Amino acid sequence: MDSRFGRKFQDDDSKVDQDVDFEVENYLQYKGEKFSEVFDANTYILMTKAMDGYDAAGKLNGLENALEGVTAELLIIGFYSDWLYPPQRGKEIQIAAMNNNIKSSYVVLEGEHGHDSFLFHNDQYSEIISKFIQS
Amino acid sequence: MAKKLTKIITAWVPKDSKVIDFGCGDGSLLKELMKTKKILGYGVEINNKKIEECIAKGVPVIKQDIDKGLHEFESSNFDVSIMARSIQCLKDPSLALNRMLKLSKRCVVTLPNLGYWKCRINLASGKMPVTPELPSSWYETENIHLCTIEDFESLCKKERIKIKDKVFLNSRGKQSTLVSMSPNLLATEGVYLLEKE
Repeated sequence: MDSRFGRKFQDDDSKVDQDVDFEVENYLQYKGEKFSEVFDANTYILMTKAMDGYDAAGKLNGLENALEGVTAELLIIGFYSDWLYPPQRGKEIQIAAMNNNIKSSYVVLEGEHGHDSFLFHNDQYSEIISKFIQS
Repeated sequence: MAKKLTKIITAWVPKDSKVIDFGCGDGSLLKELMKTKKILGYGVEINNKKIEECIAKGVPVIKQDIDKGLHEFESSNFDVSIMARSIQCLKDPSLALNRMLKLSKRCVVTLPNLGYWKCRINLASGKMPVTPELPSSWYETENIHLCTIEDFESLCKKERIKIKDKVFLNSRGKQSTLVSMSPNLLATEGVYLLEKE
């Protein structure tokens, strides 16, 4: 957040709205308007709530129980800049997998796009996934 | 040297055991143990390139700084934890040793010996030792807690850590009667199998 926006002011020529002062405000305003054109606002609220309320352990009384019976090998990837699912949550899944004797790897990568980092190309990200699939 | 170390460690790791290797590098040791001892192994590594190499070999790996969070693995019931040539790079080797022995019954540690005669000559001539086992200059090295064989064994005694077995290697990576008689002076590397008393 600091490296991308910090407390930088938006220059007057590219303001999407005259009430906007900061770059981060301008970005959110711009994204909000774009979203409202293609997305139903109420659906978005509902999806946000669903994402916030997501719990990998669900009603299974802990991650360890949730992973019981998994036979696949796991590759857990997190991004330092992801605030929605921060790296520590990935580590918790890794430890629960290890407690279940599941072959699993946990990698944290740099990514400039926060939670969306997993949608963007990144050499290391591609390399790790391709090596995992080939191994 | 790496081949000899792998052979010694392999002999100490039980078949079908659950193993964690701190500072696992490219995962070669775990890969060998997976092949010969059918272990379930996990490596812990901070370097991204080495992590990629582990994944390419099919060795499970966790990205983590081993100076932080060893205790996070305590719930996983490991049989053996390994720290090969890494303990001297840690901020708190004593804490790390105790934590390794909390998360596994057995622990394998290997370390370069600063008491080796060539290191002593370097120091006596007023220079930091640079040897094949300690190849980096003082300004490049990651080794912040170098010790001698005697220093390490004193720490084990102080921390009530039992030395179950030990092997000393000479500069050619071999065991010999001479090295075993005076390891603090003649060994370049010490390899230890530890248990909590």
